[in-house]
Amino acid sequence: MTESVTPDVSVIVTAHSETVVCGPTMRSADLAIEAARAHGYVVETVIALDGATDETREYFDQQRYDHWDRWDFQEADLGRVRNAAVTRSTGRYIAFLDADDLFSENWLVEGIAVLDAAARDGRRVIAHPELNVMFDGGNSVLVHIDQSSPLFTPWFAYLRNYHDSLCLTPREAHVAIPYVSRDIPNGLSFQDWQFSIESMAAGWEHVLVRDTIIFKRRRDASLGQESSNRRSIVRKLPAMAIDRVHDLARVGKASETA
Amino acid sequence: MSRVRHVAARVRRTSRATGASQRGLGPEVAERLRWCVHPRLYLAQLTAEERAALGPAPDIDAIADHYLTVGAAKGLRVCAFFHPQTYADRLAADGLTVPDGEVPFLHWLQVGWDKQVVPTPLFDDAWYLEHHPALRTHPRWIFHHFLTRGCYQPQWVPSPAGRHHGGGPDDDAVHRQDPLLLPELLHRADEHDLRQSSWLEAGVIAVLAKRERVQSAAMQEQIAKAAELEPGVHAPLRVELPSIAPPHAHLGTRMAGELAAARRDRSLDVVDTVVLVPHCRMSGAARVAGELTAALSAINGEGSVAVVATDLPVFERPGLFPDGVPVVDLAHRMVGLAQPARRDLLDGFLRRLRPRRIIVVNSLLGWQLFAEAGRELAKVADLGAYLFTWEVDEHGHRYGFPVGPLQQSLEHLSWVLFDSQRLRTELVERYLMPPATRDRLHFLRTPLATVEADATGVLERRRAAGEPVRVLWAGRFDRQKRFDLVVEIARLMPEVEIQAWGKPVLADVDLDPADLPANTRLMGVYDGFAQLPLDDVDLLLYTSAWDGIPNVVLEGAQSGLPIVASAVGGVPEVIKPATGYLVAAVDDPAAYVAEIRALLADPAGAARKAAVLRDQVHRDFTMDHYRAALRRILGEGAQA
Amino acid sequence: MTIDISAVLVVSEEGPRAGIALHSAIDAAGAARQQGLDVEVVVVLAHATPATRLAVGAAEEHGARVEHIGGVDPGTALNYAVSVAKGTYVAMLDGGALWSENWLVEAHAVAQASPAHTIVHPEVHWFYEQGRELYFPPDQTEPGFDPAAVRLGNCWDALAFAAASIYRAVPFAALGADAQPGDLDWAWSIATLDAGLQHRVAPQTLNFRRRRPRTLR
Repeated sequence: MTESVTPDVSVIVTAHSETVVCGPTMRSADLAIEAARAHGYVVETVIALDGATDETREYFDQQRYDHWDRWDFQEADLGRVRNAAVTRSTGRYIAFLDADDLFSENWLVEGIAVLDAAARDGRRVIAHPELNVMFDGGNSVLVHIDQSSPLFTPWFAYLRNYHDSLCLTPREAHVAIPYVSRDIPNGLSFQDWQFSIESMAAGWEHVLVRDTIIFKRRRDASLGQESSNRRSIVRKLPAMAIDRVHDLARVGKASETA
Repeated sequence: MSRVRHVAARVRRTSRATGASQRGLGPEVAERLRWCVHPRLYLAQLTAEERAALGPAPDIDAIADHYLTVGAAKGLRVCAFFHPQTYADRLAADGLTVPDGEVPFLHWLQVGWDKQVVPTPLFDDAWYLEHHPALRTHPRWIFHHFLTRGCYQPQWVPSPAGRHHGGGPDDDAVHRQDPLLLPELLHRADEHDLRQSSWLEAGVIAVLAKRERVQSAAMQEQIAKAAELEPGVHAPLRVELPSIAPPHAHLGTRMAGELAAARRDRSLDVVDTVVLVPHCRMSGAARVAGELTAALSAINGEGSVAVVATDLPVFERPGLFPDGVPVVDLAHRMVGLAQPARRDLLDGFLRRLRPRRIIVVNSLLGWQLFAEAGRELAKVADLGAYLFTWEVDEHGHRYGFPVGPLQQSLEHLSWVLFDSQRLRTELVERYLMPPATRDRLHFLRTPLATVEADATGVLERRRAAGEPVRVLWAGRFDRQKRFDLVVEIARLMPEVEIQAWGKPVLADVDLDPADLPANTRLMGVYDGFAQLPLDDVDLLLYTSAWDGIPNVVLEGAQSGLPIVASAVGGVPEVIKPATGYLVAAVDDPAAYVAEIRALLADPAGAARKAAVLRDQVHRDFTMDHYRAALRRILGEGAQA
Repeated sequence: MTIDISAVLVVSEEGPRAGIALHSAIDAAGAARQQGLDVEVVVVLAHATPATRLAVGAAEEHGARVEHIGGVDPGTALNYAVSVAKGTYVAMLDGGALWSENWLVEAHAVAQASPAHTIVHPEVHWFYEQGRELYFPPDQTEPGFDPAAVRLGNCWDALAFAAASIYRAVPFAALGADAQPGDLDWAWSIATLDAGLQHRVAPQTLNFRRRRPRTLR
């Protein structure tokens, strides 16, 4: 797809070995994109194939996906492929979608509206859906906590990532704070976590967008050990230093040099 | 007179009408006896004639009665937790013996119980309390807790030798007084004198003896030396876990025994195709499984197919499957086993049969096996599945085999069969399937059952004769079948009588039988469509909220009944404006009423539609078509 | 002069615990030498972490021979360990376990009755991480033992005592990176049963290990 104007948002679906499970994902993405275009937004649509298997490539080669750009990468790392796709994309905002998750239909429309409103107020904002609904392997709901909520405490970030990686983010945030790739098992979750902390430390405000949902497929719940490994790494981030964590996400107080 | 004969004589004097023949023991001891009665263990020691005399499902009192009058004198065991040798040994440790001529078990009930002598190797009171500290406040002897509760629930661990069972729950076990460990107790029953001991008790005694050896001076010396190097070996501050000692008290041994027995039962060696079904009782899916099995037998020859029931130990209708097809009740052999043992048992069973094909037809365990071990299994056999419909939960959300299980297994499946075009199309669209995937999904019209009924002309005759209108409805009375709509329709059409066939389990649909309108008649269960009084009804009403292509609609169509049906699932593939009366507003009773009135307003038109429908289904839903299509899908060419 | 027993300790990522395993191997070797057996202790560093290397850093001072193998499949690493053993018998140990001191003596006595066919296991596997958990591996000659059960649940640890020729005839399988703890043991149990070998138990011996593998049931 070629757009002569700067797209408002680049929707980037990342896939590696998924096939038909992407059917519901892509249908949800198309519905959300259709809704965004109906609101007059320009949307760039990208399928980022990272070392895709033959079956995955074949799946996305279907004619029905011809309205999506298909970009090939050989990064073998979700963080790096996201960074690479950001570099190549042109939207003002970036919306990632993992190949087995689903957007609510209003996610892009409402998310762009929140980011645009914040930009008008001069705030630097990253938008999250109000809810993450986990399905398939046991159901649960993650209610995102707004940074301005009285429930928010930066110390919690020692224990768990506040923010899921499927957010709507101004391009410059991703450019300034690329995902790191670390050689640790299941490193992606840590990459999200680090992005969450470092973006807060750099003064970005994480806000939630009312009435929007991202549905996340969860097969494997046995991540306890990896999670504890990640906790030990998180403590080493400069922004999580014991004398600095208090200021994390206090907009106006944070060190811009973190 | 020996004590037991004395008791028995008193028992015989006691009227059965008081319902407590064991009252001869005194109320307290009689109550203890009732707690101890384990019918399955007792029945396993009786001869076939004795069992027959007790009737099909004798209750606790009947067993207790039989024990007191017959079994006690013969030394039979009525209680899984009374082991004569253990009782004798433990009594002897207290300087006591059972007096000559007395029945040890009755002695224990009257004497040993009060002295709190545990008469079984299966229970260790100190272990039980240590592992379940909340029971320290149990108001009675702790053994009473295990006897009346612990042995029926999987979470209680009664002994250093563990739970003694596979860990699977059984909510009904407490009502049947069927301790969860009975399958293990009855394992290899032919090798043990159940009056004295069993595979399980011998095994637990062996485990306890092995544990005892660890206390020997030689072993203790070795342990002490190791603890010098690694103090952690004593796991200080932690509670000990149960010991495991194959072959006794070992799950694999029971599983292997069950597998061998299942194969022996049906003389199975190698089988070409295995069809996995949930149970062996009547249902729409079961009928399709029967047709599939018959077709496979015809294609690959006699002896090539076996059916395996995997989920529920219900074995009512082996006749659903053709003669010569072995039907294995594997579910019965897995009673009490938890996951992943159940899955592994099925996996092991299938691998021994070395089938070329494995087909899942609504077997939950089969779908689970495909999802979790499909990759390996697909290397040795073609995996196939049959899908009919999703289900809907009470919140209106869809679930079932076409939702989660299909997604988890699809990559391992060589093909999937559908009884309606509708579900296949829905899945192709939902997953935006590429041709390579789509081509593995096949719609097959299920062949008609061999029903001779012919209701042609009945509607016109009954209308011409001015007989009262009678509507036929048949199905399970559950949420899916929407019997609540039938009730509403009856209220809106007081002039019409609705005959409802099927098992009236009204609790499922939240209806009070006393509240049913007078023109709704519950006709009871029916055994096949041919049994229904088709000459006495004007039309078939079908109200389900979801379905594939339902049998009852096919059978109604086949017999020439005019049909009013909800437009759900595959129904519109059969009932169309030209062939019947389709209700689009499937939740609205008035919409059904409107279609019924339209039908009744033009009997000749309705009869014409029914005739067209009858022709169509007889032409399209044939055995020949089905088998030819199946042969193509399986790549079996045109032989046989 | 022939070596009777190679006591082979394979270590990779156990860290300081490997030092305790080495200590137990050296003690058991000493006990066997007192009975007149010629024993060599071999430490095989299989893609060992720095902490593990450090833990067995004094192995040579205690008379052990040290061998190295890079990052390979665990089964392949064990086969390599067998290949460097010079003894008639091989006793396998890994860095997370301890032998009882009498292990080599008692296991050797059992194996000698039928060296070509016998694989010897301790009488007790003693697991201790979650609370003491005793596991008694079956002796194949025990009445009631059903070899078919081994296909549904493993009975034996592969780190056992047997003639080197047995380990060479029935090598460990290379199961790849996806294999779960215990899968290697299970595969070896089945392979050895299929090869007609006999699993026996050496009375009054123990093996201590932190956690029972899921497959040993």
